Amino acid sequence: MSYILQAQDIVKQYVGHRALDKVSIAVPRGSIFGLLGPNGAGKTTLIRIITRITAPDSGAIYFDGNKMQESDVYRIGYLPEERGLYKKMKVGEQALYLAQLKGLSVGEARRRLRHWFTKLDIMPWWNKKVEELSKGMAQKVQFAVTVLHEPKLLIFDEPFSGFDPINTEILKSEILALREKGSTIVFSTHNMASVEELCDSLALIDKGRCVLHGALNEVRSSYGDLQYELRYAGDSKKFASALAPGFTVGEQRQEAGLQVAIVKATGEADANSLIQSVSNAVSIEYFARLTPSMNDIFIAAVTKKSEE
Amino acid sequence: MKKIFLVARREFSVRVHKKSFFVLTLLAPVLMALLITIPVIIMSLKSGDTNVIAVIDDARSFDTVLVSGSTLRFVLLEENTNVADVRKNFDALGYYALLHIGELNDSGEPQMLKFYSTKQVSLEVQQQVAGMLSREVEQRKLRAYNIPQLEQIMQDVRANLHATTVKWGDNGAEQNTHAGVAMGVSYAAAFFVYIFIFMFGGMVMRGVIEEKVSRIVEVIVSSVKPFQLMMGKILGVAAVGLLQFTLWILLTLLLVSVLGVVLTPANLIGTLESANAGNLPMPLSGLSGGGGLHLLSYLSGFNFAWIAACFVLFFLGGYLLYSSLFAAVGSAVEAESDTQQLMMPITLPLIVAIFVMLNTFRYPDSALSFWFSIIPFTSPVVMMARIPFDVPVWQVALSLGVLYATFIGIVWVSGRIYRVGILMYGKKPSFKEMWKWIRYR
Repeated sequence: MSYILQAQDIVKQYVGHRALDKVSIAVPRGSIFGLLGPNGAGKTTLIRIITRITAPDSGAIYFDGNKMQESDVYRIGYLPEERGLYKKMKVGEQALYLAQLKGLSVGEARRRLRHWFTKLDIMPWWNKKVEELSKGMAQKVQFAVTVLHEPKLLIFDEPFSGFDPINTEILKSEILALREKGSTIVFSTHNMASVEELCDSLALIDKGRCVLHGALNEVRSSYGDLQYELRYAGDSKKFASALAPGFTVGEQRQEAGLQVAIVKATGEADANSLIQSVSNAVSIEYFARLTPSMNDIFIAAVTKKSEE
Repeated sequence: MKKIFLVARREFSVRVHKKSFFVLTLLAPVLMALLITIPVIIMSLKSGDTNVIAVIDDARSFDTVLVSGSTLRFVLLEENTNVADVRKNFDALGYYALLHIGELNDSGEPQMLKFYSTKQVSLEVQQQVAGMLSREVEQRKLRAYNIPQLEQIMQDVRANLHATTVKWGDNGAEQNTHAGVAMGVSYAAAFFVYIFIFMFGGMVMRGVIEEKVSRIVEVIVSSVKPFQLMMGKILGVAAVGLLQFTLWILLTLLLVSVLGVVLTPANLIGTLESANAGNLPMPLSGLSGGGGLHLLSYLSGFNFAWIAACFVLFFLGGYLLYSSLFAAVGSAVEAESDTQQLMMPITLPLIVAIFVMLNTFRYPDSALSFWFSIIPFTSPVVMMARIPFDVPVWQVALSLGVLYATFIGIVWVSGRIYRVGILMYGKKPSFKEMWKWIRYR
C-alpha cells in the first residue's frame, strides 16, 4: 500500500513533559484516517509537526514518499481546532487573502471561492463582515478556505466541534466527496461515532505514545473477543447445550417472541461451526457478528495502557 | 518574501481603510496647528485687556513716573483719600488694584509699597510697577550726586548687547543660527520619535493579540511561517506609519501656509515680541529677545532634508526594534490588560531616553548624550535630539548601524518567543516562561 504521509519516530520534548514519544503513523493514500486520543494526548502537537508549524526534536516526516519539504505545506489543507477569522474583515476579502497565502493567484482564488461559496450557500455573505456571520457560517467559510487549494492531504482537527447537526452532515458528505476526488483526509477527534462512520484506518495516541494503529477492521477484530448475536425460535436450554466447544452464552433475553443470545467465541472457533452446531436445535432467524465499538476500544486501550 | 509582502499588504490596507486612520490623519495636523497658534492668539488677546490701578501716593512724588500703557492704566487719587475709603466701594469703582506708596525716607525710597485688591495681584504687575519706581528712584539718587553732564554720561554708558551665532559650513559658507530654534527642533524631533514608537509599536502588539484572541493565528501559520507573519505585520504597520507621517507633514505645511496668510508674519512676530519672554514655551523664549526676529532665516539654517532623512531612519530603526518586542509581548498574552508586567522592560529604556533627551537638547555633545545616542534602545530618541546640533556623520552612521544590527538580533529572539506564544493558551506568561520558549527547537 502506498502512503501519502508517514511519520517516523517523532519525538517532541517540552520542558517538563514529553508531548510525543517516538510516534510513528502511516496514512494510506486516498483514505480517511482517524487520529484519536484523549485530550492532551499529543494529537495537536503531531499535527503541528506535520504542518511544519513546529519542528520535532527527532524523527522524520515523509510526504508522498519523500522527506517532507517546506513547499509541501501548499499540498496540505489544515483546519485547526482553534480556528477563527479576522472579525473586522469582509468575508470574501478575507477568503481571498487566505487563499493567496496558500499560493493561489487572485483570479484563480476568486473563481474557486465562487464555486465553493455557492456550493455551501454562503455566496450572499461575500461582502459582509465576519462579525456579522453566525458561527456555522464562519465555519463554512473556514472549511471552504481549507480545501480551496485542492490539497492532496487534508487535516481536520476536531472538525465537527461546534457544528450543528445539519452542517455536520454537509461537512461529512463534503469530506467523503473529497476522498472520492482523490484527497487523503486525516482527522483528529475524540468523537468515536464519527470515526466508525468515516474512517478507513486510524491511530490512537495516548500520553504521547501511539497505542493502536491500523485499518479500522483490523483494529476492531484484533481488539477483544469475538461476539455473535443470534435470534432464534426455540428452547434456550437446547440452544445452550447444542453449542460447539469454544463458545459460551454471554447473555440471554427474550425480545418480540424471539430468543436473543450473545455468544462469545474463544480460540479458533469460527462462525460456521457455531451455526452448524445450533441449526438442528433451534431455528435461526438472525445472525450477526458483533464488533466492539470504537468507544469501547478507545476506553479499553487507554485504560489498559495506563495500568501498565 | 512574497508571503511577508502579502501579510504586510493586508495589515496596511486594513489599517488605512479604518475610519480612525482617516480621522487621526486629518485631525493631528489641525491639533498641532492649534497648539502652535492658540498661545499666540491668546497672547494677542491678552494685550487688549487693560488693568486700572488706583494710586495713593502719600508724598505725591511719582505723579509723572507711573505712565499708563496698553496693559496698565494708572489713576491718581486725591491726596486725602485713604485706603479704607477705597476699600469700601472697591468693587463699584472697578479698579484692578489699589497701589499705596508711602512717604519717602531719607534715601528717597518710599517707606512702603503696597498693593490692595480683592484678587491676587499678578507678579507681572508687581514687577512692572516696582520696576518703574525703582528706575525713577535710581535716577533721582544719581542726580543727587550732581555729576556734570549726567545725561550724556548715562547715554554713553548704556549698552545693550545681542549675540548672534554663525555656523561655518565645510565650503566656507556662513549661516546664521539660533540655539533656541535648534532646541525646539531637537525637542520636537526626539519627542515625535518617542510618541511614534509607542503608537505604532502598540498597534503591532494589539494586532498580534487580536489574531491570537480571534483564533485565526493557527489557520495562518499553517501556510505562513510565524516569523513571516510577525515580520509582515511589523512592516505593514511601518508602511502605515510612514504614510501617516508623510500625510501629516504635507497637511501641516498646507495648514501652516493657510494660517500664515491669515496671521501674517508681521502680525505673528509682533505678538511674539510684545509678549514677555517668560510667557513663551521654553524653546521659543530665546527668540523674542533677539531684536530683529528672523525665525524663518534661522529655520532655513537647518538642513531639513538631512533631519527628515535621519528622522525616518531613526524612527524606522527604533520602531522595528521596539515593535518586534511589542509583538513578542503580544504573542505571550491573551488580553491587552495582561501586558502591564511584560511591558515594563520595554517602556523603561524609552522613558530613560526621554530623560536623557531633556539633558541632550541643552548639552548635545556631552558624554551622556553621546553614549545614549549610540546605545540602540535609547538612540532613536537621543540621537534625534542631537541631530539639529550637527552630529558628525560617523556618529550617526555608527548609531544607525548598531540600531539596525540590534534589531536583527532582537527580531530573531522575538520571533522565537512569538512562534511559541501565539499558539499558547491558558498559560500565565512570565519572563521565565518566555526564556524557555526561546530555547525550544
